Amino acid sequence: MKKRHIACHDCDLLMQIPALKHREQASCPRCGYVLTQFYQHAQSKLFVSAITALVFLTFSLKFPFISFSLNGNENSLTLLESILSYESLSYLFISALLIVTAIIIPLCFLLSAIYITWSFDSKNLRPFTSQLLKLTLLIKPWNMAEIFLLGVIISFIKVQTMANIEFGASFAFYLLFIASLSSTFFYFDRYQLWSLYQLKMKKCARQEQYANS
Amino acid sequence: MQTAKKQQLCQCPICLTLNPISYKFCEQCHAHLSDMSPFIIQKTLALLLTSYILFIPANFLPMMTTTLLGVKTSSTILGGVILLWHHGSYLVATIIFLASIVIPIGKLLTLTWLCYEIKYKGVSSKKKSHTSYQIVELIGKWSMIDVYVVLILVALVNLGVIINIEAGIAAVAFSGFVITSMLAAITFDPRLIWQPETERVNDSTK
Repeated sequence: MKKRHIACHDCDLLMQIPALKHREQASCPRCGYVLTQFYQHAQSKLFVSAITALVFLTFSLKFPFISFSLNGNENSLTLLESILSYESLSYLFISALLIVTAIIIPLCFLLSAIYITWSFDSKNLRPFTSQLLKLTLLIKPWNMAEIFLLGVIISFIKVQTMANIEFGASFAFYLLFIASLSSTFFYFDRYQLWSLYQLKMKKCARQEQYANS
Repeated sequence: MQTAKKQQLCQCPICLTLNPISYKFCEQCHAHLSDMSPFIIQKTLALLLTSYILFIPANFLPMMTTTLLGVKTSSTILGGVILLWHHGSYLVATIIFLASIVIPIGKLLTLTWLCYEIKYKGVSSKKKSHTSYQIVELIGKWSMIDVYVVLILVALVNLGVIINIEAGIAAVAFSGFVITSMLAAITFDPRLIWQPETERVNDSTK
């Protein structure tokens, strides 16, 4: 990869990032902010883990997620039912917030990661690639899927003392979904993706010039 | 030490393109560029003030109301933690205490201190301030956990007359608090910590 001037995101120091080898990372000499990490075939790894996460997410929506029983009365819920409660209007805001942060944002992130890698892999850049890349970076801090997982485990421990509570098949799928989602986040490197985008843009422009002349 | 600002450049926070400092929007991705003027702190301070205000009802109003065989008991966040501690589940009590009381207060105080340092006092230890900012940014969203627990319990423990759990208004206030404090952490520009004093003084007199 070619050298390119870059300023540190956190402290504005100007520097050049040298060509990196597999598993190497570049961090800012002044503040220690990790600028980029380079992995071989990071794009295909990103694509594969995003697809895996998507499959696990669809599976985890289908089956019973968690069930609760006390004195013979049972209440079994799927993943969506455990977040959405329709009983009163004051829940509406919290339910909406939780469903957005725990499911919709990770879903959008995965879909756009798949689209972006597919777009980089095809001959010409697909429309809206840069917009999607920007959107993905903007929604990244709002992903709270792993917090939802910890919340489920904590409520499990809380209720355990007074009633019977069991996890369904969906819970296992949700665990796997979190694992592959974290791997997607791990391979999603801002610097590498934008460098690829610029390379691709230049390449397309050159091809167009060649076709015209 | 050569910074982008000294070279009359401004880096896009989204796509890392270096733009001339006069540009308002990034050339490549059209994101809004922030020139490192000290006035940007006001945005962070406004959001911080909102989160301070929201933090009060979040802690003093009931978070959760349990109805067990017709008897209603409501508890605040701290009340829930104390109840859990008495029941003997020390781990859960500690996690909830950390996530919903210690981390939020620490986060608000740290951000306020950073803003104060940049605006009036001058940053004494840049490395330390930067590390504390990074920690705040990293753990901020984990304070959402109590809201998740309450909502899952509401949906799960719902057996009509026998036992029933309802979420209180504090849950709304608390999630509002988490959103505003996360926004405050995102709008805060860490480059201001590293900016040399002389440059900052020139900016604010402009």
